Amino acid sequence: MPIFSIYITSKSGSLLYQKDFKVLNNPITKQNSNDYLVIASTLHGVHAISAKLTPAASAKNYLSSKLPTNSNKTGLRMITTSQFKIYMNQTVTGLEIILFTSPDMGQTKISGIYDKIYQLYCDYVLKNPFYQLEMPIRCKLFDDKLLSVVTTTNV
Amino acid sequence: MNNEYDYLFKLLLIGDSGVGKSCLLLRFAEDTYTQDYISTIGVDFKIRTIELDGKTIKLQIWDTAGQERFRTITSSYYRGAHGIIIVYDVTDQESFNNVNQWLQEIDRYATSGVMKLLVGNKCDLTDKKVVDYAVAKEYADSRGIKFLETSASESTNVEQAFIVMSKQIKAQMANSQPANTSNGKASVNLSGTSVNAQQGGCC
Repeated sequence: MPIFSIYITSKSGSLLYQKDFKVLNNPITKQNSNDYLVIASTLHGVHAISAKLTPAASAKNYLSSKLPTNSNKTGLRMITTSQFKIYMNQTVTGLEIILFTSPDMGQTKISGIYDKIYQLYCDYVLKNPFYQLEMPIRCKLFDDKLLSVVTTTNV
Repeated sequence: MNNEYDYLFKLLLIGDSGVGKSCLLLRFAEDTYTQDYISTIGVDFKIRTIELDGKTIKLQIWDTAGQERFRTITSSYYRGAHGIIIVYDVTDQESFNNVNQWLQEIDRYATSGVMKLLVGNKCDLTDKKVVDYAVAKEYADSRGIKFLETSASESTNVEQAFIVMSKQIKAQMANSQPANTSNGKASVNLSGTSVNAQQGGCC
């Protein structure tokens, strides 16, 4: 159950981080950097719009959490194709983690991975004094730690 | 992808349907022009990389649909935009009248303090022009917004419109950096009057 790629977008839908992982028989080919931006922002839009289709549930969710950015409960969570799956998860602060995985990846395993990635983001991106909020993530330590998380999942 | 660029700015194009938002963008991103009118559905993205003060900046421009029926969708795209460009058609008075409404949309959905730019497109059509430059300029000044007249078909001012915006955003970012306090504005004023001098001497 390998992870093919990861995308992290800000609450406004801008791509902050993207990485393709070396996986045997990866069906997804490399794109150019502009395409990655378009893919990420499109997915963000779809997620946001799907949350708007159920206004009652969204409003209830907002009342209980008081966080307008959290559309995780009502937004789109997964897209399946015969070749891969796309999992989306939005944190309460609006950061969105998008994972492209093999079709056999299950929901339970994915939530554990989300937690780990978010933890890495907090520790190695947010605590990095040189990191500018809402801008592309260029942190070596985050790169390394993320790679090791994915590598352990992919074997 | 890594380290190819230093900044990513989110710019938004809004304005009435048919004023030439997509054409303006096509001119800027790909330097081409098309007469064909294809209504944008939801949102379209165009990206261009520019160099500013030795930094590589990617401008991701979100080209929204102007049509009323997409309004609920497009409002979700305002969030977190660094700059918003409001476009009207200089040959269409109605589109200029609606600028006010678009500004209200910005106030409602966008981050406060977002950079705004008013653009009057199709300025090459001088014989059909109905919105005077001076009128639009005065309006923009009263709102504290920069103003430009452009022509996507003749490529006038298009480059400027986007570069002006990016420069402003970058400057704004540099100012909000905590390290940049050398201008002294944030310093504590120690030369206040003594507390004792102000007391009435009740004891």
